Amino acid sequence: MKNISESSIRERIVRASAEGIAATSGFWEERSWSRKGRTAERFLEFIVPHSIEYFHAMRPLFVLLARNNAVLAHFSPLIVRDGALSLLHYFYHHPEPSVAEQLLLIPGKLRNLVPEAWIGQSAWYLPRTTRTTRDQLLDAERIEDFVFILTLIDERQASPKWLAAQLANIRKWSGQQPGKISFKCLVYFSGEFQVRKECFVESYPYAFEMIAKLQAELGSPVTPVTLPELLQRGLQRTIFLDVNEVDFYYSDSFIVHELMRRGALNYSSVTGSAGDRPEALPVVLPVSLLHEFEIGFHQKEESFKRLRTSEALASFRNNPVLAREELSYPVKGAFRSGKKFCSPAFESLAYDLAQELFRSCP
Amino acid sequence: MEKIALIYRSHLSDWTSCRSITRNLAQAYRLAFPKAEFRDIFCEAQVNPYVAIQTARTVSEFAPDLLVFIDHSPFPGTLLQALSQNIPKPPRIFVHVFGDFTLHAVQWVGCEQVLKALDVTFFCASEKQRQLIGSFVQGGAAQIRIAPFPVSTQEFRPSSSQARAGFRKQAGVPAGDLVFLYTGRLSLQKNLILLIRSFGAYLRQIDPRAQLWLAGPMDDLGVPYLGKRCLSGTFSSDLLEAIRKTIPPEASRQVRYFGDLQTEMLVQIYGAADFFISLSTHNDEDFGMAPAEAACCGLPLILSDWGGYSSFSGVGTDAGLVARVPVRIEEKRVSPAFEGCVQAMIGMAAQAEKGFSRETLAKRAAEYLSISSVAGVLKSEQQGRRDTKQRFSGFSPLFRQVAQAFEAYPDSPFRSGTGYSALYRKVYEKYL
Repeated sequence: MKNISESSIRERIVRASAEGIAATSGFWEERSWSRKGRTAERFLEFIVPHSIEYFHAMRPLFVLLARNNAVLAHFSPLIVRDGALSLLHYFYHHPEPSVAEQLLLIPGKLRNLVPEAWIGQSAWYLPRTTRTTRDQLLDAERIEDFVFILTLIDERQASPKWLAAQLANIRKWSGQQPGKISFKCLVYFSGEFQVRKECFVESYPYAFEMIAKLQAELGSPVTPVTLPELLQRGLQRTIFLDVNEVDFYYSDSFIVHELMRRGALNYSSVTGSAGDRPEALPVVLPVSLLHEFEIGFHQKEESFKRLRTSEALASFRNNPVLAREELSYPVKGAFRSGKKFCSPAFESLAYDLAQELFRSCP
Repeated sequence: MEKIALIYRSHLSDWTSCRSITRNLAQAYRLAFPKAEFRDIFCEAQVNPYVAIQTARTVSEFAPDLLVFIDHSPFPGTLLQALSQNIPKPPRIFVHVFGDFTLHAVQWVGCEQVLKALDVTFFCASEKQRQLIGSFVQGGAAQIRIAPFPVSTQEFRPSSSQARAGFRKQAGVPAGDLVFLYTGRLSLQKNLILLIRSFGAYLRQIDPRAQLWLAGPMDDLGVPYLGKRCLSGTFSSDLLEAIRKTIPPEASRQVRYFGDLQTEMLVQIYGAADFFISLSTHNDEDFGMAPAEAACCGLPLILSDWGGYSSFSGVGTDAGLVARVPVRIEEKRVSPAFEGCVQAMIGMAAQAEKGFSRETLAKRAAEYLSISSVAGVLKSEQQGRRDTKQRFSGFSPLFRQVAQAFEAYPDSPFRSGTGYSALYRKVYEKYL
């Protein structure tokens, strides 16, 4: 597949942005790209509210839902919302782009997971608060609330080590603020609609552990809140952290957009703790009046990382035991567990890759 | 001693304006009846029959002379039903009507017999809303009164000239540059795309330095009466596209969004702006809390001549400080004409150039809208003589038609093809 150049990618993104909303109506209304079948939908229900749809002219979607790549290729460029797991699953089944026109915008934290064959047909994005907005808000530096978005799935959402490091940084940061910071927590139990007994055993001790950890490490009470309660106060003096270490289950979250478009600041962007900003990002796509996507392009010097993904996926594909298990799992899995769309072996591979490549980000 | 029970919803409303209205109405009642014994009764927004009976018992034990529905929910009908069955001599009842009266047509018709048996007075917030609700009841509007939603003039009052200059300096606005301000929900329902287009024309034709400030929560409710619902983020995209297409690129930063502001900041922004503008033709525009608060801060108003907005004429039309933009009601759309909007902006800017006193304008607004003014209205209604023959005698055929439309098409009761049905136009022609 012939790769297209960075300037061509840039030009296509800018052109698609200029075409405006009307050009996307068929995508939203007809949903010809969406596959029938409950496996993918169940997984997206599992990660609700992060997976709730939102509108953007660049057609944000979970590629997990795509019926096939050829249909998806018709809608380019696309904003990919998937986490590492379903993104790698997509690359596993689609080692190469279908057509030269296909162009994917990948979540910035996952950019190192893009295999070599997709480099020329993808760019990456990061949401950020619109820079001029900070000036408009006039007293936005007076942060009063720190909100954790805590989605309790399993330890792949956030490892204890990572969380401890984040909390230490936040404690230090809050001590430097002019006023007292009140800590709040939006808690989403993503396992609860699964009625299997082991989910309760698995999820609830983890839930208690996580909340206790927040309070202990911060040395402050952490008050649970609901989203409507949070929105009633307005979010101009709010900063938040989505506790989502390697974006394993989802990356582009509905909740994050809801908070940002109401003026809340993303702790990861403000402090740069995501470590995602190796260079100035020249293309910007507005999302709301208060936040936007910065678009970045893959760097040649990082190509060894793409090779790592390409090799790992190829190795998995070429292993008859693993490949057979992966092929048969969706059929068997549909009867066993609502949230699974791939084999446990593939999940392990995806988690290893995500951890390894995310930690190697600059 | 007179006893008054006030019914609230137990959780604060999601709507910013309703939270202010309820709080201010409660203050107005306490001011109107300083010697009365008050009881605040809280209910969930959705009242089931069990809760209704329990609440009726609470009311019965307190034995009020006056029972007031002060919030936009819970829907009064369920409670009134329980009340009529559990209290031998029910009290007089005041219902403050919010914009969602039409939305609950089916439920209102369902409790028609209960309403006939009780002594109920409906309070509308504006004259045009009184006409609308009047068209829904048999025999006109005898049991319908007007009490504007009150504004806290302790909070919303003119800023000092130093505060105004300070805010504008911080916001980087030169002293002579005009600022048009819209506050309230940023929603498709509020004709904001038309506002952006009109401002774009104003910039190009009249004053390239003017600014348009927007503040308030963004919503993607679409137009539910037409069954038009939107994904989150849709209206943001619409607004951004309107700005990109109609505002010259070099002036794009002159359209500024301040987010959803708390009262303290809102007052500052009213003080710093030059005009309040809203071209809304939303079907729930029964009053206009945002223009009311702006007027109490001394801001001249540019408003669509629609629904509750028309009632602001008295605040300053004779001084030329309330501009009304005529509205057209057509099959496909209900909105002011684009040319009319631009003309109103030009006219108001010219009028303001002659000079005016914010304090005087704010004082006149407060005479009509302050908590103490509304307290006076409530007091005179409670103490005034009543003609008991003019009690509620049933809903009109028009309101039954509305209820049928909601029952037949709950997701798009007023849609016909891709536009508004004849029924919608007939109902809301009162808002013209």
